[in-house]
Amino acid sequence: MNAIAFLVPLAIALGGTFLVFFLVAVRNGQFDDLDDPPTRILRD
Amino acid sequence: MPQISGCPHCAAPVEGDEGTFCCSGCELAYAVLSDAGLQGHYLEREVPGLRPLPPVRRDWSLVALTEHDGSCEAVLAVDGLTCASCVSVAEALLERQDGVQAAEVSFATGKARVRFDPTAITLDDHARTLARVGYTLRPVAAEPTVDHDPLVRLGIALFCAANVMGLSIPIYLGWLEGMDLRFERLFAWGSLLLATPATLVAAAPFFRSAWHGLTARTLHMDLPLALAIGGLYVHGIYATLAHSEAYFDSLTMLIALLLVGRALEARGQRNAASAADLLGSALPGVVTRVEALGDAVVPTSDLRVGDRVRMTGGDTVPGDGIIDQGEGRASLALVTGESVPVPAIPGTQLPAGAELLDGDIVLRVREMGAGTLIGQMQAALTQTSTSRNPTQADRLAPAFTAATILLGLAALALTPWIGSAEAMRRAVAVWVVACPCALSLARPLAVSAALSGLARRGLWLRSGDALLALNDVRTVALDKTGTLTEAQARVVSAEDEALRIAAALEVGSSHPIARAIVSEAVGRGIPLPRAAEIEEVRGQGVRGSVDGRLWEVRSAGVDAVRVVSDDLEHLIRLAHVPRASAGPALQELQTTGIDLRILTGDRAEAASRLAEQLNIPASAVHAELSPLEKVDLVDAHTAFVGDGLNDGPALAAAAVGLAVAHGAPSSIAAADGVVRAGALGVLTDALRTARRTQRTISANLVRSAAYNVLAVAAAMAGLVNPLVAAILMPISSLLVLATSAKLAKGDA
Repeated sequence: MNAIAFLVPLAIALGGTFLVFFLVAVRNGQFDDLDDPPTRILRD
Repeated sequence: MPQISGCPHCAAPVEGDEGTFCCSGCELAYAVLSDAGLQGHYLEREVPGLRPLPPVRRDWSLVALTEHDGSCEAVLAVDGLTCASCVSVAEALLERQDGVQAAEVSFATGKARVRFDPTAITLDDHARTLARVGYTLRPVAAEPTVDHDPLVRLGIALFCAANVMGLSIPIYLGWLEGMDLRFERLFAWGSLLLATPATLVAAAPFFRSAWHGLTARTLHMDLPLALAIGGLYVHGIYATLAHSEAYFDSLTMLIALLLVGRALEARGQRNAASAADLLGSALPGVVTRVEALGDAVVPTSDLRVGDRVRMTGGDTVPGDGIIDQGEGRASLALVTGESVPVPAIPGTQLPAGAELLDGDIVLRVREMGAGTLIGQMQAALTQTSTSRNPTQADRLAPAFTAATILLGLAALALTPWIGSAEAMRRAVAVWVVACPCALSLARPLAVSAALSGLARRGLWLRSGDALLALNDVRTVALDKTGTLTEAQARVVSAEDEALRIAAALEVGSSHPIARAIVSEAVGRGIPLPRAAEIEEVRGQGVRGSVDGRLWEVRSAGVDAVRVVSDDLEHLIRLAHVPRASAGPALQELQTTGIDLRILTGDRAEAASRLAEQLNIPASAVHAELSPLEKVDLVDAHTAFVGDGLNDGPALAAAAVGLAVAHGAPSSIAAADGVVRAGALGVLTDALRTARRTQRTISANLVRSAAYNVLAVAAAMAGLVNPLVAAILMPISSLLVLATSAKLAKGDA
């Protein structure tokens, strides 16, 4: 049972890491234009 | 019999061997592309290229330049991109210029992002480069920088909500089966830790707008939400310290769902705004001012009353004025809706926004800015658009939340009878089971599903209010020119021979009538001969030699053109033809029992002829109206569809104003939505969708209300424990989700 005391915070910390990745992606403008990139593949 | 081939650039049929060009513009475009090694474009493209036209002078000072060490970046609109291959051509041409570091063209938005060295190359150079192959570059209003905060908040809120849920499930299960106290404490403190950023960061906008509302002495609709969020959080801290139920799962889920609802609504609004943004500006950016030392090109903003402005065919009048010298013809279509050009001779008054079709004039400016006819329209327009009331749906959800909060307080007031701990528990249970998740989602979900469904069929609405306002509409009023008819006149009768000659002479002109003639000739598959010695005849037309004979194309009366040589004469008639979608769209509207009206500034005769073509009773036609008379004919139960500058006030005054895409930019600014020109049939659809959306919202409100009344009553009686509350809450939200999603589909 004691493993839980360690695993639960670890799981949340892991989730938090992905949240940080998401926030960095937002700040870098990854989600600014969701309509154009799908058509770019048709171009070359 | 001369051989016939297609112009290599624009594919118009021409007389001559393979590789003969229809005009020098196309020849140059082909040469530019070949020099750049881009001949591949001619094999890849799906649509023939546009015939290059002389570049229009633009005021590039409006364009916002972002500087990065030594180079700067600009975003510009590109017109004339017809296929994906055009995008790579435009990109390659821009990038090939000296001083350009990078160019990126978007097909979806029609915008180019260019990074260049401002000391080596100007925006005008970019425009000229693209104009040579048929694309037009023009300034767009500075792009609003994308606000990342809502998405950041949404991410934080969802992360916290999901993890608090994960921590809460064992608490609830432990509550049933008993759990080691250490873990219960761990999970409770973990929940508090996660609920803190959700409340303080993600929910910050609710607190902020509630506070702003309070300082302005109004009850903002976010106030009850702020109270509920703040109350739950403070209670949660207290409960965590006191080892009782904290309800952080409900708190974080409430915040996350509220933010999802807001994000959905914001996305719909952004789409409508960008659909409207692609249309440029109404007045010219620069003008040629007549000065003592000769002519000078100055920005329109530098122009003063009393200045004299030199104008040639294609120019737009910068301010209300009177003609001093010269002659020509002017179109007032954008200002008054009058489709017939007026003669522009000394003494004629022209309003700002009028377009000089041909000729050369000198105009003395008598009024600028707010004093002009357009300026007054603009004023009338802002006045009408601010006088709008919020819809009933906007008030319902917060009122409900306020009632819930009061009931929670009432539970607290039971303290003398049941003790303070039990009273607090019941109050919080009331707040949790009645938390307005379902209510706060009912409207945004239904509305955004309906809006995206309509957008796919050609109608972009700016807001959910506009959609729901359609429910009050009893009358649909439509503008004539540009809305029911096509924006430009088309050739309605002409002999092939006349078209052949006229088109050969007019092929390089940007005049709307010239373009109508050329496109009709190309449409009929008439091979264009190569004309020589083309010269413009001031205020009258074009002269040049075709097949070794001297021809002249002259305007004749309101909507006709004469093609004249020594003893030969042909007549070409033009008219504004109804759009293909107009007839069926109006028939369909009439079957729904809607009262139809046509409001136009055009002559009564032209209007009633159109009514006849479209099968509309003559009594529904109101012709020869001024822009302000149009306003008198629309009321709170009228939806108005228009495209011209003159339609702005009526668009703003109507219950719902819809601008036609590609209409005047100011009409789009005044409108609640934009309808695709070929998709007038979507109007009936929109009325039906509005009705179904309202029904869905009402049904969901009733359902949530019933659920809430039952749950609140149970909670006040002390019957609801945290586990029951946690199960009941998402069920009502899911129900709302399921019923709303159906609205995105069409009539199926």
